[in-house]
Amino acid sequence: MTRNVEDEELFAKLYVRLRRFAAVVRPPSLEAEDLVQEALARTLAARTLTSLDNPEAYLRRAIVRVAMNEQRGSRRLSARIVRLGPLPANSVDPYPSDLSELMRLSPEVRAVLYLHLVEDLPYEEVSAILGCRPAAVRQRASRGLASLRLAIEVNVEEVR
Amino acid sequence: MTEMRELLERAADSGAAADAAQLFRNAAVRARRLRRRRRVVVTAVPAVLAVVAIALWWVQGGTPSQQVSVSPPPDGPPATRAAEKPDVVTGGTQQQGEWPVETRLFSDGSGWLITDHRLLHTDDGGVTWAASSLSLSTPVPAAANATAAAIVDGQHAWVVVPDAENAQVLIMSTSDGGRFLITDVVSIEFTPAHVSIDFVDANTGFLGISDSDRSPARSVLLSTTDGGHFWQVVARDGPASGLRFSSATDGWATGKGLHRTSDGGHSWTQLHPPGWDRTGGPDPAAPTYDIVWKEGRRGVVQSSYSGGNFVSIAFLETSDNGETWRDITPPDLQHIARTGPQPHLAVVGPNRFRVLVDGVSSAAKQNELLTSDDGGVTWSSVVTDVSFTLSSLWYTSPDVAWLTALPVDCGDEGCGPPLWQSQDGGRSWVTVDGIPGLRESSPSQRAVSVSSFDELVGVEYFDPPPLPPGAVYLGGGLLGDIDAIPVYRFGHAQQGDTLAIWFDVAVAQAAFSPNSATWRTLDVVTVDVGQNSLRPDTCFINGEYDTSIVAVIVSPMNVERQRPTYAWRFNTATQHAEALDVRDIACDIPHP
Repeated sequence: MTRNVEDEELFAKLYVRLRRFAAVVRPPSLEAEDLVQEALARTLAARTLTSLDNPEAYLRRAIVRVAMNEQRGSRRLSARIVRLGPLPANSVDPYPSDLSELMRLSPEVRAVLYLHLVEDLPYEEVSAILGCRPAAVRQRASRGLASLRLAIEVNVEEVR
Repeated sequence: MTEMRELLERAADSGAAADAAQLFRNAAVRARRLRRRRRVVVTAVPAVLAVVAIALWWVQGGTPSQQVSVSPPPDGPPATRAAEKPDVVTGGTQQQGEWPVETRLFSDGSGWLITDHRLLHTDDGGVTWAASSLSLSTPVPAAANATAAAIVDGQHAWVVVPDAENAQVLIMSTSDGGRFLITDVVSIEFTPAHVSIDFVDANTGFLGISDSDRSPARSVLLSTTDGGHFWQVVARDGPASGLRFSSATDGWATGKGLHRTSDGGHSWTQLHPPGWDRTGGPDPAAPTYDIVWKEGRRGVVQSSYSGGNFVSIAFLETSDNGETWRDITPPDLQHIARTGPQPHLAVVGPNRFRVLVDGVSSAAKQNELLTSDDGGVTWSSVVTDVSFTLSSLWYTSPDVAWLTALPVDCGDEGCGPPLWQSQDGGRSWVTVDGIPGLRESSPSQRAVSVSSFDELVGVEYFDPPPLPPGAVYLGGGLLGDIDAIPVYRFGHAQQGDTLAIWFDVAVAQAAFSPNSATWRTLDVVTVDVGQNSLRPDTCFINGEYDTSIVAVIVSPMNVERQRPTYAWRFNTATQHAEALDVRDIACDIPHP
């Protein structure tokens, strides 16, 4: 079995979980599949998946980094658009639901919330996956939850 | 909380999943393109740059440069007149204040010169240099004295620049001799002030980021095993400066003392060279260490103990990974208190040491070369034909030596050549030309660390410093050098404040204003410029010994009574001197 085939089989096993993760941390400009694909491509450009100790954690961190890079690029693009002038009045919000509140959080914060709340991973494990301190993970989770609660409460008030 | 989880679940399930196998194949194709991208750029960049260069050369009148000797890239197009105009090749702008950061030459003739603006590469032993395609100053122009670099061979190099404003570190790397640079960004949780990088080979490396060089409160150590594509956190708030690894697991680092790791930086053990616990100076972390050389279990460090306004230096060697140490300091250099330039040690090989001593300490005022080929037991001395203030010294063979010189003798025409080469083991030196921009550069308003004040950041000014609007500037212009000691100044001025102080180490004078309106010139008796100086670290102020006191000023009328009137403590957080309310003071008065 070649390394490429081994990598493909390994990736197939990880794909569903990675895609769900990417769907949460993705920037508005990228689909979850594109994000996974880009993270996988950058990983494969440097090494094989089977050579990694924990390929899932590695790919998850790569996904967050690609998402953050993309988000930075989007911000630069937005700044240029602002300089050019306002968007047409009929432009639509890409997240016309309460998901938009979630997507306003940074990819790192979303990653923390997803891994902790959905996958039930303790903060220590989340910090190991994302490569940051447990204290920083707790802080991000706390801030993310606080800002989400505030946004959701505001929406509820607006509906009433 | 359930609501949050549901929200995240909905986000995770949004969209339609693509076929995993197809996605993997797409990623594999893109990975191949990413790998190939460097090769494509290598062939494309010289051609594009050549076209741009020819166009600019044509616009500028087509006058060929007579002084430039930069070679075209080895696998690039044939030599053209454009390749003779490297300023055009690198962007066409004059590099101001450019200064070497790291230089390394290899025995095969390949080598690097990394400045605070550019990355230059040579294939012929430093005769000709080619600039990289990307200016290093593009992302962070003001990080001149904070740049660090790691060089593995003639092809692989990494340059790191802290970006304090955005709490991130920029890593520029190349694996093709500098023709193509990849820029990466690492975000961190504190303000980066100091970076250190070291690579064991082309893949395995370590990056240290800290908020201070000598006494960091926050730091992070990262490692990579894929040439810097991905960095992972190894340890936090531990040693992260002066990184020197001899393998993927074994390395040394500095910071608060000298430390050793044998597990890739996860845990560290403090080493205890002779004098490690010496205390009493103004720096509680003293002495500090610079790792000069490390090879396997052998290593040489420079220990610097700050005693206030002087620094005493010792060179220490170990052959058992820091368990035991031997003092290899040449006898002539022992017990010398230094206020300015320092001696530089280079290791030619095991037990083969060379020390170049600045002209200040030698009778001839020229640099003195000390040589030992028996592990520092005996030394021979020869006076060289030059007088430098050294920045770095290294040997590519026992005969061929290189050095970078600090900007000391700066006049209107610049500071003189910073890069020199010796073909006779360090006895005689010639300038290395062919590096456009470097020779004409000046260190105008470039901050330099003052070795005689570990707590201070001295600023050597060519022009008046950038003070707040309306602030009063005291002094002005570079006084030049006194006996080859560079003039270091520390200034502070504020408008509408009661404190305004400016003192000059070289002339031992200060001006003081209690109200920013009237000024008095006072004698500074605290700065160690002569034999009869007070040292602030000998003073008890208000009944306490305060190691952070950096200046004590005696007004002339009080000199006889030896009761200083004013004292300042340097606040490392604000980088400003703070006036003290001196009620009682007593200092040791040295006698001639």
